[in-house]
Amino acid sequence: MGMMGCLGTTKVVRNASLPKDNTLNPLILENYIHRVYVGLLGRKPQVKEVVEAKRMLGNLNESKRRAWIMRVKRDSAYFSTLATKMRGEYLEGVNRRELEIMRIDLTKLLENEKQAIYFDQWQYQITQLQKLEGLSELLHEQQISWTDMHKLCVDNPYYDKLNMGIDNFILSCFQHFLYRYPSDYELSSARNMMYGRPAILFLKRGRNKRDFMKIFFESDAYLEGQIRALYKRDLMREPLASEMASCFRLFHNTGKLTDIQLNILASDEYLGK
Amino acid sequence: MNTWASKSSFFLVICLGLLMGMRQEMQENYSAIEGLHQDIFSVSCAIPACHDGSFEPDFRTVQSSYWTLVYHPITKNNKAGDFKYRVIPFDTAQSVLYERITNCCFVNENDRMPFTVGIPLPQKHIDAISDWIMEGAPDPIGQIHEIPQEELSFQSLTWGIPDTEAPLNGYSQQKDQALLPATIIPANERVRLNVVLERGEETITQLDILEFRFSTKPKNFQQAIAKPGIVDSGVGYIDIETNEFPQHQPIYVQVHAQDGKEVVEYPQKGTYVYERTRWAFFIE
Repeated sequence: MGMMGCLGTTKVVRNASLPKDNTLNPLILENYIHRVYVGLLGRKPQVKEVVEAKRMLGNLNESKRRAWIMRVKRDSAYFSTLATKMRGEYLEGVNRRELEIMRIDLTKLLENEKQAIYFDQWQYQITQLQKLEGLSELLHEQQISWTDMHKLCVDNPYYDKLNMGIDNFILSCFQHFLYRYPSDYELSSARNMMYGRPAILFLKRGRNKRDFMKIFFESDAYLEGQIRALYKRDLMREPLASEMASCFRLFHNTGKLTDIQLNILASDEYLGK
Repeated sequence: MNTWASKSSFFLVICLGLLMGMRQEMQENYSAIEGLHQDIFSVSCAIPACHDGSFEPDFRTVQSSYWTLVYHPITKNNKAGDFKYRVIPFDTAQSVLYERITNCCFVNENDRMPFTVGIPLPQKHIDAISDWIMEGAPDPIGQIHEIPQEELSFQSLTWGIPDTEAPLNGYSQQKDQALLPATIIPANERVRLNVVLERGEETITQLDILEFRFSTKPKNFQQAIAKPGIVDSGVGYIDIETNEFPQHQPIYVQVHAQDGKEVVEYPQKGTYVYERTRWAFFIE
């Protein structure tokens, strides 16, 4: 009788399918946690951080991933890693000490009254160097946006030293952020603008360097460049036309490039599911 | 059997409906710049050593295609010089892009694009490009752009001897100080300052006001000496007696012009200091 009880009665259910399996290979989960840590904080997670991450991620739905990534991004190491990455990417890895030396040299020039005509320009450059030295703190205190961080990376005397002359400045801006050379017309327009003459770039009028920076960093071409860079860095591929369009929509709604980054890091593709 | 047939036909209708919907969506995307880029520019034009950044326009991405096409000046024109921009919204006849893909012989025999001799783009691709231009060449977010009006600008301050073609040779040198690349001019002499006046490709023949301002302060022209200038076929000039100005210190020049509602000054706020010192002179 006992044996009969164990076997029970067989029921046949037609057209049945297995329930959705939300479980994940533990290796994929650990890899994901590691990649997010290395990508955002520049280091591998400690054991307790992995345990904590696994607990938070649970069944790994996208909203939990987002919440966890936001939490990782609150770590102060995220801001210093980002600042180091920016200096590495645009300023050939200059360190804070080198920036400080440059700032002190510029400050000494302010003692020579004969060169007073340049004081405003040097004072501005000193302020930019100070901001660059303290970039991670500015990011931490949310005093600087992603785009302003890029503006700061190119609008300082160290970037000028690396890319001497107005033409090189324009070329390097295009290459760093748009991943292409400017056309002859774009170069000549930008050059005129930088010299302080009226010119048209991306169908907008400008007449000085400040206008150039504003037009350039507010252009859709810059936004496209940033989206491509995020996709290439984190997913190792170019975005599809539909993905590009949805990123544009997202940016025009929120105005934050970090939201696009969050979407990528929380995606199934980045997870490797 | 009847039930099976009705189920099949219902399924067929759903499939057809879905396919039609997909087709419509594809057609809608096709006339946008993303669709053109995906199906035409990136495939037929951005090929290695062509429009992949080697030659303009740059068809590597949607944005590079857009900004190097719409109201972008051309680099090569036909013999009659009919064209100005690569794409003019709402106008295929004046858009060189359309001309290059439809005309067999823009400058030379068989130079139709894409540059595969004798093989034009399929007609549906040509029509898609034409439709996009005639719909105003909207950008990826659907915005139709207009080209801003060109502003009046002043180029290159030069010095000369009045009523001659002769430049002020021997004096257009920099003073031997890194601080002051100002032109040195002799005392007790009459010299002419020339500036080229431009508004895009337009030659300026008349202005309501043209004024030259002279100041000892590089950025402050409020207390400056102002003198009226003369406009003559694209050039604005003024003759000055150098003994009217203090010696041994830089005199900074600012040009002020007014034409209708347009007021332009140069150098102006945001002009580099070294550019300001190029627009300066120093009397020996």
